[in-house]
Amino acid sequence: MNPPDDDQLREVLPRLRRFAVSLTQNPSDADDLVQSTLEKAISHWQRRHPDGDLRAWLFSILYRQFIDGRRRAGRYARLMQLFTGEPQTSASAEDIVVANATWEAFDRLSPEHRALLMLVSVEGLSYREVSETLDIPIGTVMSRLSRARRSLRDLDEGTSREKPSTPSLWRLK
Amino acid sequence: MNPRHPTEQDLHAYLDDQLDAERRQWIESWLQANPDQSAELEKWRVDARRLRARYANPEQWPDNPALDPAAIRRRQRANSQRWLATAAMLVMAVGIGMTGGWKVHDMMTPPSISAQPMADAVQAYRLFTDNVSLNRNTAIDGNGIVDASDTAVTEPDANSRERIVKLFQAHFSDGIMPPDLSAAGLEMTGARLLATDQGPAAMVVYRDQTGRQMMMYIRPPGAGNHMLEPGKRIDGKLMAQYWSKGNYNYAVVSQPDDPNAAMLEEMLRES
Repeated sequence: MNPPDDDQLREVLPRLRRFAVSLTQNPSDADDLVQSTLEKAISHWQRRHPDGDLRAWLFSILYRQFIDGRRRAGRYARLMQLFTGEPQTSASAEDIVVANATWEAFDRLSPEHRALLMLVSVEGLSYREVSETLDIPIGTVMSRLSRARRSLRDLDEGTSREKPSTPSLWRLK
Repeated sequence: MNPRHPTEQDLHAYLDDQLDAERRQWIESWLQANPDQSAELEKWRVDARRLRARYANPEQWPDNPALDPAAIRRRQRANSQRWLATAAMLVMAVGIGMTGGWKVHDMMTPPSISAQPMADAVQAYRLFTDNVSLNRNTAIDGNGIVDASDTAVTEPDANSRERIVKLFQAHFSDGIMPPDLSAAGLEMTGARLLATDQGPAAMVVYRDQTGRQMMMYIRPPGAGNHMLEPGKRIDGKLMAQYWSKGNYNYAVVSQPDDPNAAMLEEMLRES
């Protein structure tokens, strides 16, 4: 198979950065995520389905990297908690300010819900493509989409005005 | 036939334009008769629009040159060359073991290095790290390594194997040819001819489909025709397995957990 065409990758780059920002909620973490995604894509190019959609394939690598990173961060937080007795998951004041300056309701959704809404509403992927990208069954895509949109409405209308005890805001280190 | 009420998932699929024409029309008429649900759906539509607006025009975000694919490729090449450099150091250490009286039982300790083999290793290291030497014919004088005109690292291409075979025929006519491992998904991606005091040596690099590299190394025995007891040496993230056969000493350098290395070693030893 031909090696990856840099122009093809460049064309998808802005969308990758956008998806990464919506997940990490921090531009610098997002670019780190995009970089590791591209590194993986270039070295795993031969595993790519030749007729598959490049964008969906790159999104799926990015999402997998993000989830893996979050698991690592989670393990680290639990380890720290063990040593210090303090939970490390609270969002910093700076994070809160950033979130308030944008769209708090969306930022308070879980990363899974944010990923789904980004792929469906912003990227316009089909449910089938979303199912492959996020590696979840198509039935789960549809039920999760209902829940995500309802959560977003609830948060936006302030029915959950109380801050959750563990904010859903966090940063990928 | 459609049921009387669409499910909530039908409404989302309608909003996301995932329905066929017939089903879409059915939901449209149902929404007209059900203004409450229609208003709810309108809010979701506004949310989607708001999200699109928030993340509009990512192509206008400040550029980050580190993310350009060419830059990423350059960094990957540099990493790969660092790998080669470490591998080169390791096989040179094996070579030093042959000439410097370094014993196999002392596997985890670097050999004591005399001035001459050290120059050998340092020059090998330069060969693999200095981009200039990769791109033009370089001759290094003295006791060390000479990179002759036909020995630049070959780029991965269709001629790779052919060129490597020719190189071996020319310099190691009675040595073991690097085996073709393409059936196991391993591609020969490059070869480099080196000169030692005892005659030519060569490295052949294989890469598997995940990008993992391993290397075959062939060199003449050390001073006094000293043949090598089979052995193994682990140095950081790399492992060298080495032995002597016929008129040459051989080594396979790989990551310690690379199963392909055992295959290559077996093929070489049984050839």
